[in-house]
Amino acid sequence: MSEKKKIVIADDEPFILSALQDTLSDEYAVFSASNGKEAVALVAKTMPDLAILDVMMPEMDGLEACKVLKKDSATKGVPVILLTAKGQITDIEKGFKSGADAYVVKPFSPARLMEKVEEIFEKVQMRKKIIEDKKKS
Amino acid sequence: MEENRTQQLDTAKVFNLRVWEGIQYKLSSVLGIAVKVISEDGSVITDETNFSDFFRYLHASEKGRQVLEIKPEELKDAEKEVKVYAGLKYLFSSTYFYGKKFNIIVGVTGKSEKPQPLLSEISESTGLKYEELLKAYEAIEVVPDEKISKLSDLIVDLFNIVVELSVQEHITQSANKAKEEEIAKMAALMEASVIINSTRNLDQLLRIIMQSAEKVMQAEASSVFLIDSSSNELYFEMATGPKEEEVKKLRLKMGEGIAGWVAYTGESLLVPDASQDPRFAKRVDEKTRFITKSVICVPLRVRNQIIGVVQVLNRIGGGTFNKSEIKFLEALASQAAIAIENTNLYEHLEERAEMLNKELKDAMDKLGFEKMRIESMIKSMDDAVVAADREGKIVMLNRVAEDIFGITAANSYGKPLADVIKDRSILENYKVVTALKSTAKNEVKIKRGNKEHIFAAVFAPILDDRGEYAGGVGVLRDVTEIKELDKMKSEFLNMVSHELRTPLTPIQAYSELMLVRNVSEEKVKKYADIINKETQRLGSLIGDLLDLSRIESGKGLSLAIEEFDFKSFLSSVYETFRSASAKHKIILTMPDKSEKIKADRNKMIQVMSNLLSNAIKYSPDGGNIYITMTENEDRVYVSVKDEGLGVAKGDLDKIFEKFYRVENEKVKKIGGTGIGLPIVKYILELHNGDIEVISEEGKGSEFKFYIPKVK
Repeated sequence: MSEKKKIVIADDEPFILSALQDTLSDEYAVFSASNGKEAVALVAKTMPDLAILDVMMPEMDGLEACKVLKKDSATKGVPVILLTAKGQITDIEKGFKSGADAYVVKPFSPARLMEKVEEIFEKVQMRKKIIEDKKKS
Repeated sequence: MEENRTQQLDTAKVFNLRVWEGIQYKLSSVLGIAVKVISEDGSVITDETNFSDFFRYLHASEKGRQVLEIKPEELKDAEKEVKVYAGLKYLFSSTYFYGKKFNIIVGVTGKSEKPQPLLSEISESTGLKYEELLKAYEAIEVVPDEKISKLSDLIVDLFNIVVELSVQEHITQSANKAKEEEIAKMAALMEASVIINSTRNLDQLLRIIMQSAEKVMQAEASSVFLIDSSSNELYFEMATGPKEEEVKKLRLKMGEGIAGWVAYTGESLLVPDASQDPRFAKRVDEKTRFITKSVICVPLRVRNQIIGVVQVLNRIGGGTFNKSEIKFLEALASQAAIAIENTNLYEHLEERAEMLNKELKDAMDKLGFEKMRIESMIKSMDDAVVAADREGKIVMLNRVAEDIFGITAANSYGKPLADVIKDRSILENYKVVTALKSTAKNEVKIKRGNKEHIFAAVFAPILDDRGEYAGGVGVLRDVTEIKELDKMKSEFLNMVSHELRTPLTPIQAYSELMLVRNVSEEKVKKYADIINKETQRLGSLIGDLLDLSRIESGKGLSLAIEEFDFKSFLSSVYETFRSASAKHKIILTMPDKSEKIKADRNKMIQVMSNLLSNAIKYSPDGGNIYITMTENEDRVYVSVKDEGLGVAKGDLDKIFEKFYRVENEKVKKIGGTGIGLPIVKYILELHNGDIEVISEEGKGSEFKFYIPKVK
């Protein structure tokens, strides 16, 4: 644990963005964007361990940004958590179809968000281990 | 028959005198004997034939003939005997025929030896000459007894043969006569039945029937009575004869008179002499001055029910009717009854037909009216209606259907649905109706003008009276607007939910961070500030929603009017929003002079905050936002201008409609409830002001409003 894990966050609402920032910045290195386009660029640039994207954003929404990231071989390994005020099943479906790894509904509890983030990191860790084990055998 | 024949023999009509007289003459002239036939009662059937001068001489005078008369009583027991008359012995032979005795003198068997006293007596009583009588008497040839006896047997046999032949001849004749009568009766009956089937005029019918009855029965008059069931009286339905008119005015009570009796008992009646019959009603004769002698009266029956009577009166030339004629009249009466029943039936049928006809006509009129009404209703409907028959050919099409399918009714009638309507989903719907005889529903998209409209299409089978499939009818309702409203509603709910969650998210996040994490005092201040701002935002959003619901429910908004300086008001608004967005620069321009207005301060804050947050929201790439205040003598003008996305031309007049949100992908990604601008406009109108928008897509928007100054 020498270096802090990197997380890119994106939301067009400044206070939500700052709430995310304040929730995560104690544990992680946080990079923020205010729309999808910016987020994609920021992910490509920083190659974070996780991207948390708001669904409803101007310019490019979170679903599109997620799709773009998952299509790009360079960024497709970056896990994505979608964040939205909408909690409907269809939205969640859309989210998973776009390749998102998890879904967090607004308003969110910072503790829950942290748990979700850690959960994702554990999963990534497990996957890495399995792949390494396979390589060894 | 036996009795009849005897009666006829009694009247001596049967006996063929001409034949017998011929025989008798021949016998007398050849045999020289006297022959005479006397009936039991003493009446002479054939006179004596004798060619002797004595008889001839006596016969020449009236008194001489009386001498030769034989007294009936003297013949009583005679069978074959010799009697002496006028000094002559005669042989009498008797014969019985059908119980009656006939006495036949056959010849003279002896003469007196001394005829002088007798002859002088005859001469005295008759005035005939004694000498002549004597001379003739002496010349009489006497036939010996034995010979006479044999002759008498022969003569009796001959008489019997003649009588028998006569009777046979008579029987044949009367049989022929009866046959002729029978034929006449049959003809009358035939005629009656022919008439019954050829005419429906009851009076004429009965008249013809009764006239033929009169003719056949040789009657003076006839009549038909019917029973009036309401009064239980008999009235003359038809009367022939000389007193017809008078008769027709009369009525008989049930049981009154012969007709009444027959109607009452149902039995045919032959009255040979009406004046002697206690049942006879004299008043009819008295009224009509007709003299009823003999009557045959029979009942008229229709299906075993007596409906009246038929009577025939007085044999022409006197005499009475006989029993065989009852049968004939009964047969005729049954024909008349059929005629009456037929006529009644016919009349009844005619009435019924007329009634049905009227009912049908009424129904048709009503139907026609109903059809017209329904047709005009369907024609003027806002929904498209199209109907097809069993074969799928169009039978009806209303104006809206013409419009949406781009066809005309005139060109479409009788054509298969598939040839005229191109929309596949409609045709498939129709197929379902045809195949399953059940209703089919779906949504159909049809282009109307430039816009695609959504129609709710319902196809239903048309069933006839017997519940059999007779075709299908389709109704298409334009639900585009409803669909749009529905879509707007769900979008609105989504947006409201989003808009409420947006400020709630930092509030929840920061309050939790403050509670759970050990945050510095500096951070606490920052968090609390954010919570406060977002709470205000949430409050104003809820305020907007409440305002909307007040406006919607018709309660309206109430204003708390106060007088305040508009310049300082704008300045404070500016201060609040100045730091709301890092990307935007708000530039406020105001005149030097301070202007006071009368308004609801909070509502004016609502207006400004709506316009400014819109300006920020819809210019996501940032830019300048200009707040410019101008004035004229009466009004204060405020313009809020941004450099953002702008509004498309088609949306300009709709953005003040509630729930309206621009159909633009870029704009849609930006949250918003679609209620802000409508409330702004409403508030300004309440202040006697108004608002307008000047915008071009991609080139920013300018919202410009005014409110009146204080006077």
